[in-house]
Amino acid sequence: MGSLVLCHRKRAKHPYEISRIHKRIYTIEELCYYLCNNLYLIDYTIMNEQLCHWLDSELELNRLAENLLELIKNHGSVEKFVMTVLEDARIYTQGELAHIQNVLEKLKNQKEVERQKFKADTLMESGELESAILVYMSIVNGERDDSVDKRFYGRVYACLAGAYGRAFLYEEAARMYEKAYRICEDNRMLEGYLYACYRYLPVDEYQKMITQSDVFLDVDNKLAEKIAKVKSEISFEPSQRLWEEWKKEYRRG
Amino acid sequence: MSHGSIIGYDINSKLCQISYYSEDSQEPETLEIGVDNYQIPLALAYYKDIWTYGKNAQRMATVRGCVLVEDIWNSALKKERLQIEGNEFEAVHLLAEFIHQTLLTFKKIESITFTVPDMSEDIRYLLKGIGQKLGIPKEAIYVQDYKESFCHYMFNQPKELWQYEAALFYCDEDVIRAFMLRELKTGYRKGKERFVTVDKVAEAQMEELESVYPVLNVDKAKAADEHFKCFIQSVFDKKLVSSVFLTGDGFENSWYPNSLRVLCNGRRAFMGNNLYSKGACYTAHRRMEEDQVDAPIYLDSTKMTEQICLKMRIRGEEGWYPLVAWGSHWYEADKQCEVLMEDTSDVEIHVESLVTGKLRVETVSFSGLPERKNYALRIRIRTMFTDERTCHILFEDIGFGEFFPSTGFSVEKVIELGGSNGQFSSLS
Repeated sequence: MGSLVLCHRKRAKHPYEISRIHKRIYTIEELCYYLCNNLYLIDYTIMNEQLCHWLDSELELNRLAENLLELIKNHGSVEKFVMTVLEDARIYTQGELAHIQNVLEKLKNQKEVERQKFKADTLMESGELESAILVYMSIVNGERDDSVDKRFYGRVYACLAGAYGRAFLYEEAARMYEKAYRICEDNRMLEGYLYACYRYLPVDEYQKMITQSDVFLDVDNKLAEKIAKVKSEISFEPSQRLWEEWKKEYRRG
Repeated sequence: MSHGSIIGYDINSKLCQISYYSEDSQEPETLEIGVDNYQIPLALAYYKDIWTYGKNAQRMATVRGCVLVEDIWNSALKKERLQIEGNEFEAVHLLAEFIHQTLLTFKKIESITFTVPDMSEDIRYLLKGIGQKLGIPKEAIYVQDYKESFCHYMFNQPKELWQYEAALFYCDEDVIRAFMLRELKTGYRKGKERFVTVDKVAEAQMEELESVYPVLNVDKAKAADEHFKCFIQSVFDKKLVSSVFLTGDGFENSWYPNSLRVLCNGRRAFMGNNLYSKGACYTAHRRMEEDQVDAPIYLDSTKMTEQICLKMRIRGEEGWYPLVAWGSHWYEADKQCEVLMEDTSDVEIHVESLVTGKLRVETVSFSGLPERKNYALRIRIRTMFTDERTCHILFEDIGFGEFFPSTGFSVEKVIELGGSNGQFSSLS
């Protein structure tokens, strides 16, 4: 059975504008949604007195506003600020709150490039491929941070390749997988590389390419098995509902 | 001077009385018109295009050229038009003017409950209309009868005063009535809810009252006292009564010393004339609270004995949220709330009956509504009654602010109910 969560009654007459995403919010539920889905964006631009006054005057959440103002006054952390809002809204289960807290803790100890990657990963998960690609590119093309694990950039290239692949840009995907493999030497990346090549190269060129290396042949065999297995498991006749969803998604795009 | 914003307004054909919720004491207080005077005569005086009300109106009546209008309540209910100084006035407008003037000291009214001797659809419509005309939102106006006011007054007294039954005696110049607050036995055993009602258990026309009210005739009072004592004994017959309340002008002269001994025997007795307005004020306050306090639910023959609930997380706790609560009037049960959906699978609606103690489960399908993760699917749920047996529940996707627009999805579920006719009388 579907689960429901009762919303707060109050809706702001005057919305609060979140400058980082240029969106206005009217309810505590919308604020929580923004916070939870943009944990990588949380910084001192959201932890401000203006937001506290808005919660107080527009949503009549006086106690929450007071606690947040106190937190700001005492130079409390952004993570504590976010958790105070989420706990007070009482939308989330204890398990969900614990998960969010873990993510915040992880982000807190991360370097800027790692936070950027988390942002891109989140965008990928929500299907916003173009935005994700742009963020991944900004990491690999930006100033290098040598303090992170050297395989970090390899993983970013692999994620970028994955994003290209999901956008059917296989040639770009292959190039990125190649870069990822050169750094990480991880066979899963090689598999991705060969799959992307298989999709964009003419058959004869692909065959010629894999015969050049025993490792390629080996990975290709495994890949073929995987493709066959996936094909046997999926239905090629999508339901009417799925068609409609795809159409909507396409139009939205 | 400004008072509270939560009002209990007692009105009958002769008088009105106002209690308001005091921010300081967190209890209802009654508006004092003069020293120890809390009742406002329901009268208007018209003099040189100016209306005055209450005692001032009665005083003004002695001025030449002034017109006193007294039977406003009954005229308004009959929708009469009154000729005053060559002008025609609708009695309803005069009643509205009277209520408006009596409430002028209240700058902002957040919730008001009118209480009347006997409820009817016409009275409810009349007072709700007047309330709205005064700028009070429809949902902040409630009308109840004296029995319900007594009940809400008692809920806010120490528990030992209504542990068993509680009695209310009303007396005026020619009649004594007895009411009893008692717990109802229902078939519902699931929750910890308690259900109560107030019955009129006896009524006596007493000619002897003429000798004690309005002026006490000491010699003749004995007969009235004796008659009242017998009346009390018949009311209390084998009943466990925790407390007694006396109200009405008839009790003002102490003509009932022997009766009082019976009244106070093993229980506490109280006398006052602001019980109804205070009870109404408690109702107005309770209706404003988001969290319904853990008080018993008042039922009578006009109220619903079925409840419609949806399971949801309410401020972090899983529970059953009443879309239509027991003890509602079907014509006042239209309501709306907003929920977030975790997923789009079917939702269960529970229809519980107090009479049968049975639970009926209905399901609503949300197929066609696109999935949206992370609590970003907001649905407005509205209940609308077309008659006492038919409740329409409408679920609408209203979008999620600027993050997601509405998909236009909506689904309606019609719930058939038993209605109130005869259902209440089967509860003992």
